[in-house]
Amino acid sequence: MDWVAITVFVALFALVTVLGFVASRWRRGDLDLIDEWGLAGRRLGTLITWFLLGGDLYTAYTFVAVPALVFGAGAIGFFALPYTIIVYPFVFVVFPRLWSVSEKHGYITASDFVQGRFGSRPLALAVAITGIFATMPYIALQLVGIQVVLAGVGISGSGFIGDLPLIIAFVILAAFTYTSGLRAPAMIAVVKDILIYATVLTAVIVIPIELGGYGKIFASVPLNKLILPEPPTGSFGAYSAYATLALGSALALFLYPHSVTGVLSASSRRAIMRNSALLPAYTFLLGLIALLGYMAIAAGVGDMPDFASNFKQYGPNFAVPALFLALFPSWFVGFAFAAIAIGALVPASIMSIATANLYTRNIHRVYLRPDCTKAQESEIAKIASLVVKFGALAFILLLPQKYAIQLQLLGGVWIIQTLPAVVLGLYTSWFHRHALLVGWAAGIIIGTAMVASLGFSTSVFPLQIGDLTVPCYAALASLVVNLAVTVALTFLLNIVHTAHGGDDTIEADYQEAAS
Amino acid sequence: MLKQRRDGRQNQWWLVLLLAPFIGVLWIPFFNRIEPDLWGIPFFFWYQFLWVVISALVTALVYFRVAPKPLAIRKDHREGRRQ
Repeated sequence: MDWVAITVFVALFALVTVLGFVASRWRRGDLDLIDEWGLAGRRLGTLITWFLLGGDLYTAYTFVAVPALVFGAGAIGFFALPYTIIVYPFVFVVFPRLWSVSEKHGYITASDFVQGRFGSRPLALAVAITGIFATMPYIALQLVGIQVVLAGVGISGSGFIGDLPLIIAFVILAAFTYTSGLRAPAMIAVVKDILIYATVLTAVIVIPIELGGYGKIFASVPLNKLILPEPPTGSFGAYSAYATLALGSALALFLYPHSVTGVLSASSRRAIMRNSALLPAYTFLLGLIALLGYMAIAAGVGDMPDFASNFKQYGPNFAVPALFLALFPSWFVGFAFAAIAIGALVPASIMSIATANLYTRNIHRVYLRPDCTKAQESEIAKIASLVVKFGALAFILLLPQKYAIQLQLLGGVWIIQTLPAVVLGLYTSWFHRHALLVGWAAGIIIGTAMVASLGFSTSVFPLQIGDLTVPCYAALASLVVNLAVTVALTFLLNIVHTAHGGDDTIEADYQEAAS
Repeated sequence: MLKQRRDGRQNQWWLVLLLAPFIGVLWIPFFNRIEPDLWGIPFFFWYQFLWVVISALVTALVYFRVAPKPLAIRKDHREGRRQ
């Protein structure tokens, strides 16, 4: 046990706990309305949106898993960089439209929008369920981030006592999310992001000095991990894997409920456009964090006897904690680990709010209690957020971690199937509601089958096109199938004049002047 | 209102610039190399880091070109309400 590190860690954790509860009074609103609890009243300006989305999208799991992938597998792990570069031009063009139409019609979730645009309850339900199932394992994985750093300061073990710190962290998270809603993660995100920036900037300056410079660090990385291996003849090899992972992940990212919640809580469409130019600061940070994977190789943490047991339990995910433990004084280790653990609270909180919004608006209110009042709606959402979080906690404590990782892998494949309805739906209502639903189902089935055929160990599927092998991110490949089915069926259903659902929106709703 | 819309349409051409980052970072054979390195950092890495900056600058430029002036909008909006 490292008591200095633990003290710093606990002190910072206590600070954000207080912040989380104080947040309920911040820009005070009536938290008995789901708009206020679940979207912070749509009043977050450019700066707070920057902190919120930054804290939301660049999760603790990302900060642990990306350098772990670079440490274990090499340059392929760097796909996180092109992924989080190209996502913003896409967001800049597409998501202000979602913001405007949602503000006009009071939509809280992507599923609300799909219901309004295509007038199809089954389609809206499909979008809602996809969002919930894609997000649940993601929440569970945030806990992995906390678990790994707790183990780093010597808090681990088996049984209830070993799990207790994690349970305490989660109870705190659940309580402040319940009372303060989206205001809590918005406020905590500011602290979290400052901690993360300070930690990473210190690390990328100090560690190279300790290890003899960047040149030496890269020189100690074996060539097969330093850049992508040259594709073998007859295959696009790692090249197409890298590019499709980046493109598919970028298309999927903002379809996740927690991203939509972040977007819709902004005070204006301009705040989203501005953030498309400002959020790449986090991408730069993520790139630096990815480099920590190489620094861990150069420092040789994988062979240090002190860390052997933790590497055995947590695998490459322990690379970055080990690097900090090996090179930094205890107080800084406590600071850095608190940054990661608090970094898990923000996305976990937003994700649970987002799934709670989906459940309340698009399942409970539609199928179970159509007559519920505004106050009841907000209350149901609060309770749903608790259920979601304790579900995630139980998942991570009771089942092997690999299930959460595999389900999160599948989550990306699933959520991207809502792109035709949600993203293309922002531009046109030409698609037939039944066609969208069948396309969605086709994409889910084929994408899941692809990942299953690989034993759930990777989501890069080797497509065979003639003699050529094209390793392709299953999400992207299955999205193409989804789109083909949707377009073909729309033509067919139009020919036989099957009725479209009603469209509540007009083009002006999607543009600035209307908002 | 009409005039503003015409301006808006013209501005939309700036959006084409947003395709640049996609080409820059998705064509792997171009940058999957070690040389030329920069302060010991292989090309593969500094090239992609450079695109983070370029992409942000391009998006900012497009924002200033595409988004009409906030003041004009607010005035329009208010007048619209009064009617």
